[in-house]
Amino acid sequence: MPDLKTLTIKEARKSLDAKEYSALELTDAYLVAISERNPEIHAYLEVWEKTAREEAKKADEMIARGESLPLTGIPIAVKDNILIEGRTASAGSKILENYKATYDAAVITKLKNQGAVFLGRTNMDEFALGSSTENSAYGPTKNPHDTSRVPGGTSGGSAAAVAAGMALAALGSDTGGSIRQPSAYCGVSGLKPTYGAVSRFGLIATASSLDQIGTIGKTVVDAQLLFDAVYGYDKNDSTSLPNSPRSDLENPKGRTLRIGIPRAFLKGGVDADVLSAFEKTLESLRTKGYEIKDIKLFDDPQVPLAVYYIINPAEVSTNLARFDGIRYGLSVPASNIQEVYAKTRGVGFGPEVRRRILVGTFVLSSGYADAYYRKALAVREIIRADFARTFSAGGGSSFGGESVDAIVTPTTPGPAFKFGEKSDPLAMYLEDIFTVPVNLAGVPAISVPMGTVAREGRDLPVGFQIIGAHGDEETLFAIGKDIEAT
Amino acid sequence: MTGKVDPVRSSPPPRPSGRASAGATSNGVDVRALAQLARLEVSDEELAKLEREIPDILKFVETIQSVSGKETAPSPALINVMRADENPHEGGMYTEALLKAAPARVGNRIAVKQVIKRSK
Repeated sequence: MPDLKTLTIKEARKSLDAKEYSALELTDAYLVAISERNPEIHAYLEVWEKTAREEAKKADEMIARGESLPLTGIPIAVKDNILIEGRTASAGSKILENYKATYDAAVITKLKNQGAVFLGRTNMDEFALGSSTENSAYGPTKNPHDTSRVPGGTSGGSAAAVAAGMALAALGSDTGGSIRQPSAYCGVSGLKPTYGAVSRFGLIATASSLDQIGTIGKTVVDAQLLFDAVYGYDKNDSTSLPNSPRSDLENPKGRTLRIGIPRAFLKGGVDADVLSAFEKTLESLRTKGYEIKDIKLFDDPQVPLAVYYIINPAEVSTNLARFDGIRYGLSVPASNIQEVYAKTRGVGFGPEVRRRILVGTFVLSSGYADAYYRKALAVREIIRADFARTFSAGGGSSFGGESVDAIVTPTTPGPAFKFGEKSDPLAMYLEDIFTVPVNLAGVPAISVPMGTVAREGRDLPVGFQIIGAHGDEETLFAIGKDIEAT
Repeated sequence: MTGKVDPVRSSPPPRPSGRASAGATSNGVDVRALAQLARLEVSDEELAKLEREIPDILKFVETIQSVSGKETAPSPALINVMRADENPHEGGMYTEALLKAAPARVGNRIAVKQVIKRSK
């Protein structure tokens, strides 16, 4: 068996097809790794040993028949908010503790058709609200690089599972940074695709105008391979985009790529050693022939974050209204129906979920919706237009009339923080400063490792975020691979 | 609910003290009223905590009030995202699967507490 800590999908594919080992042997190796490491890391909420082995046997039959597809026999982890028929999907919440999915998410159908192996469901902040997995109702996940620190969130279980060699790759979801930030903290690659590029049919909704399913892998290529498998139009998702042609070219645009740095946006709050890791990565890109230039993106970096923390709670309070103890999930008995609702929701939702529902209720309430929610929608349009202008071929006046192919930032202002360090909700929200504008604009972004910084004698990974134009994942992969190669 | 009006409906909407206009500040948010609107039971202890936290959050998000310039409310292009009205699946195909998820059922129905009562 290869070393699971360094194995990639690409290598496993080669070995499986060459029959160096079987899909069942590979799955068994992962199940052993999970039994050894998961008790400490707590990346998985549930491990599907029996079905994983059955799926692996079927994959071996596909391989034997010469019908192997890119992910046949590849063991992956699935975030706890993605539905697989007949299996529990709890979204990290007590309110869905005993909920069993009644259908497969579109991404799961695609992976089943490829003969992928599902190892288990991974831990997350409850209803994908948080930045550390500390908001999971089932206890936090630990960072494999330093177990006194958070893995990031909300897809912390998925990122930690990949980083600790407990899954070859993983599915996550990203509403404001929930794939990119944990990928940065765990030293893996995480992609948030263009809004609408991957179907969300069967994803438990958090904030519907922001949510996007994405992929996590050890390498850019692995994140790309999983994305290629789940990408595409789906009639069951009304926000799904029509398929656009994809390319596998090393340089999709066939010319020197221009990369923009929003300098003002990086001012203040970024740790000095994170900034120097960022500059070093930029320098390596410059050496590789990329054109690097400063750009102006937003006047006030706090504004996108403020917009996000109005729109997100507003949509959360609306989406989570469906959890009322009537149709599914927890139901707390009471003397009348109003009390059934209030008690079920009071007991079933954790503190951060309750906080967001209340803030969302406020910003949507009569008399305040104009000043908060509708104003936020209008400012969101300005942010979206800023991105579109920056990427448009015609160029925008805000940065000298020339457009760029990608915008880059550190993924987070610092490395993984300690458990309990950000107990103030606002301090936790500030974690997302570089990631939320991407969701507001609906553009794709990837976080790739850019080395480590030292904290208390430990080397902690940090991430380099690459943001692209709508539908231009290819440019992200091209730049990401060049960073990986250095 | 004999003769009494539903407490949720009779609650006044949450109003920050003093200011009732759309540009209101976030001081003095009535969290208890919000919790009622959101159908969420909140303990007194948590209420006290939220009464500190929520105004802080609202104060932070008020940053957006400083943004001026060309603000256009989003006007999405109208495209039909509904499925084609054809080939319906056979009735009752998913009934059992969906009912199984319900906390309480009677036969082929989801059971709930009485919703409407006649006033005396």
